[in-house]
Amino acid sequence: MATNNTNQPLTPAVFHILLALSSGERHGYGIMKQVETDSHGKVTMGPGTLYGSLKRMLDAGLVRESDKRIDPEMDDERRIYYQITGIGTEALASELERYKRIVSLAQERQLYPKTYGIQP
Amino acid sequence: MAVTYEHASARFRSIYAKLLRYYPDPYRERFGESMEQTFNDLCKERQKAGDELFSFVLWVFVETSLAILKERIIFMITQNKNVVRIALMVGLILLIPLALTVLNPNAHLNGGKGGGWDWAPGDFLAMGVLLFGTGLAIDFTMRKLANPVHRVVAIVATVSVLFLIWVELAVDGVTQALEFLF
Repeated sequence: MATNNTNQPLTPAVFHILLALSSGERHGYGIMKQVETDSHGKVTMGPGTLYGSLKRMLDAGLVRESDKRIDPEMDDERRIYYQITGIGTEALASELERYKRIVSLAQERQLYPKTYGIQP
Repeated sequence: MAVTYEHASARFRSIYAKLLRYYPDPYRERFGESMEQTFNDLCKERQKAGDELFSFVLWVFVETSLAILKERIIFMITQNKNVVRIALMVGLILLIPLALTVLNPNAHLNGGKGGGWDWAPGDFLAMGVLLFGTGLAIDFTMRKLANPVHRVVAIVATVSVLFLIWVELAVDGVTQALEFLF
C-alpha cells in the first residue's frame, strides 16, 4: 500500500537504501554492500535494520520486490531483489533537494568547516 | 584453522536462524529466509577476508535482537487489541494511588515531604511501567501456553517478579532480606 508522503524527511537508513537502489536492483546483501560503498564505510547496516526498513518501505510503496533470481557471484541460492519505485525516486529526490538547501544555507552562513576547503 | 572457522560459522548461522524465530510470524515468513541468507553472505565475506568472526557475530545478534523487540512491539500494538486494554487497566489501577495522594490530608507533614500515601511522578511512572510489563507478560503467556498448569505457574512467577521489584523499589525489601539471610 503506497501511503508514503514523498515530502516527508527520510530516516538515514531509508535514505541510504533508496540511494543504493537508485543505481539498480539489489538483494539484501547487495544493498548492505552498496550502502557501505556509498558512505565510504561510514554507515554499516545490520540485517535487522535493513529488513525492518525494507518492510516499512515496501508497505509505503517506496520499493518493490523484483523477481527471485540467482546471483552468479554469490552462490546458487535464489534471492529476492528489490527495486526503487516511482514514489521512492520522488522521495529520494525530495530528500536530496532538502540536503541541497541545507548545504546552500550553510554556505550562505559560512558554516562549512575548514576541512571542506570552502571556508572564505 | 579453516575447519574451525567453518565450524564456528556454521554454528553461528544455526543460532542466528533460531534467533529469527522470535520475529512475529508474518514478518518471519516474509523476510526470514532472506535475513538468513544475508547473514550467511556476511559470514562468508568475513571468512574470505580472514577477519575475526566472534565480535562481528555478537554485533549482528544484538542488532537483530533489538530489531526483533521493535517489530514485536509494533506487531503487538497493531495486531493485539489487548495492549490497549492492558494500558487502560494500568491507567485505572494508577487512579487509586493518584486519588490517595491527592486526597492525603498529611501531605504537608515532614517539611512538605508528606506523610502517608504521597507518590511522586516518578513513582507513577515506575509502577505504570511495571504493571504494563506484567500485563504484557501475562497476555503473552495466555496466548503461547495451552496447558492450564503451565499458565498458572507462569502467571504466578510473573506476578511474583512484579511484587519483588515493587518491594525492592519501595523499601529495599529484597536487599534487606538478602542481607538478613546471608
